[in-house]
Amino acid sequence: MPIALVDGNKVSRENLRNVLIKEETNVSVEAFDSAKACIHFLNQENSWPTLILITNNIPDSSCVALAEQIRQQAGDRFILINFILDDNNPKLIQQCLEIGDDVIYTPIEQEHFRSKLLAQKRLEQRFLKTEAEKQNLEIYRQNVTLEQDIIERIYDTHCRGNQVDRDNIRLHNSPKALLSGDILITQEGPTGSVYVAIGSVSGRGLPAALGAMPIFSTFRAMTKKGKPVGKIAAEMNRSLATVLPSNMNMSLSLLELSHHCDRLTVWSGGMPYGIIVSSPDAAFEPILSKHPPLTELSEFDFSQDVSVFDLTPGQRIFFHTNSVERSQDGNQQAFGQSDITDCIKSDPSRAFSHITTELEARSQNLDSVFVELLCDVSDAESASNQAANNVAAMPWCLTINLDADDLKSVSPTPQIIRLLSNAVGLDVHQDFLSTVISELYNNALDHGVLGLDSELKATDDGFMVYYSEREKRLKNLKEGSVNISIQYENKEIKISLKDSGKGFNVKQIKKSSELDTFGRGLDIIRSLCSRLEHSEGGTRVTVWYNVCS
Amino acid sequence: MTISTQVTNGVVTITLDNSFDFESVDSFRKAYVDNPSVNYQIDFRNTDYMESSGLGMLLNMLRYFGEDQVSIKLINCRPQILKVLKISNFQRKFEIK
Repeated sequence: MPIALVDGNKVSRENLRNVLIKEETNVSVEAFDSAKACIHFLNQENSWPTLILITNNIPDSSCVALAEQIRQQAGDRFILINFILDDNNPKLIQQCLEIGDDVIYTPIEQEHFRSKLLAQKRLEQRFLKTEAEKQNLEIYRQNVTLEQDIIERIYDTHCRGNQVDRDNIRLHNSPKALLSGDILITQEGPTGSVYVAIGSVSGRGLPAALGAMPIFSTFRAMTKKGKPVGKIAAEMNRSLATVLPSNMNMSLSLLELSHHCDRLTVWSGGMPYGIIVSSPDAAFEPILSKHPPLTELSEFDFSQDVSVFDLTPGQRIFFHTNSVERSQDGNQQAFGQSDITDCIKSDPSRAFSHITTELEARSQNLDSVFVELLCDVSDAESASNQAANNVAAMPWCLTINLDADDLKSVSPTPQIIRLLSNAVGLDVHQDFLSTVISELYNNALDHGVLGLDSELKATDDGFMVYYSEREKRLKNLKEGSVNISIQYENKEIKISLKDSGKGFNVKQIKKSSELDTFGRGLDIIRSLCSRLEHSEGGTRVTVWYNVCS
Repeated sequence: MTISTQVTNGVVTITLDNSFDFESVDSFRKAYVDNPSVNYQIDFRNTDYMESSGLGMLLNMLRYFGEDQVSIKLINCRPQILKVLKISNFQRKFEIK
């Protein structure tokens, strides 16, 4: 403990210093003969002594005045001031104890003095400990602020700007909800349907918010392509498993409300039940969560099974997360599932604002998310199909040459579609392009390379024979090829397939009649494409697909 | 995922796989042959992709029972599937919901 000593008398000053050094092995003592010298020293020093001993024998100041001056200069510093008095005047003692921490009388009794020093030392240690804790708290507070900033940014980027803006969709959402791991995101699909993901990552704070990150990207990417909710959930399950530790999971409801608001498709795992309610009779149907939360099941065990609900105009759909039920107001009153249900049953059209008010009253530290979808056909009709955007895309060309070994082992359509999936402007068309490419490829392989005749399919038995024959011939295939080229230019895709088969008389293609189990592929291709052309003796087929339509 | 079959009050519901094409030709046929009925529902809720072989499989099913002997409903079709069904005029042979 660093100590300063102020005493005008040289002899007693040296004595005191010796006593201190004898008492304390780990001590540094600065001794001064005047108030001026002491103040001068303190003015120069950054690290002040912890204990200052002042005698009432100083030439240029009273001991109390010096103590006052030191206190004033010390500001927030922790210092202990003790007076060493040769006078037991009660008035002086009182003044000393008003400004200082202790009074010691001369002549100094060694034992007594030591106890007093020890007591001061304990005080100092207690102070230092508190000080360290205060610093830790400050660091913690800064971290929390930083975490909140990050969460707010994540929220701004992923949850605020990108939401679907339709009158029939109402969201209760905030950065504070993300802080408790809750997410609520919406996106319009290519066919005009609306997707909603509402859910909650277990845990709180930054870990929960970061845990939800893969959900944002998977949701945006797959809904833009119009993927079914079961498939999106499976992909989320897979990507979340790469981020979340095994003791964390995510409850989630994924909804797709069809373009005409006549159908709701739901995949839901680990969530409270959603509600479909009719107006004005308040007929009520729960939407049960049928699966465990995401990451609970492996990719292999995961079920994409969805629930489908037929809707009628005026019906309302409500979903909320578990944290709604955990939220409490100032009087520790929770607002649980039964409160929400009652609220919705009693007045469906006002339920959203009513519940939102209740939730806001409980959002001091936590917030939750809540969504209402209204089946309003007029609103859905007026909502433009924003997904069909007009991005100027560069021209490109893709060439794939498959030989006999490839034809045996490779299923090219999904791979081609995966290649095309990142091409600018094709999102909306992926499903139809899949259909077109696979029809063309199946024709080239089945009838071209393998030489199968569709007429085989004319009977029930023949239908099955056809596919077993296909399997057999493909297995035994020694030579053969299918060359595929796909070109994109000026919003048009040209797909051309050349097969190694014998070809056929192009003029003999007949239109399939209603009950024919074959020949439908070409009809589909004709309807989806703007043009179809057979050439090179029937070994080449070329179609033009318009991405504007 | 595989094709699953459920019988409720004499109605056989066949819920299809992710894609409906010739890969499932055997399991689809087995689903109705093993569960004889006059009322079928083909549930497309989990299906996001179908090709003409799927259409052929549906027509083959219709033919297996005889067109006037059976009611086959196609339910929960996504818009993409619906378009393919309509191109082939399937609403005239099947009830599409």
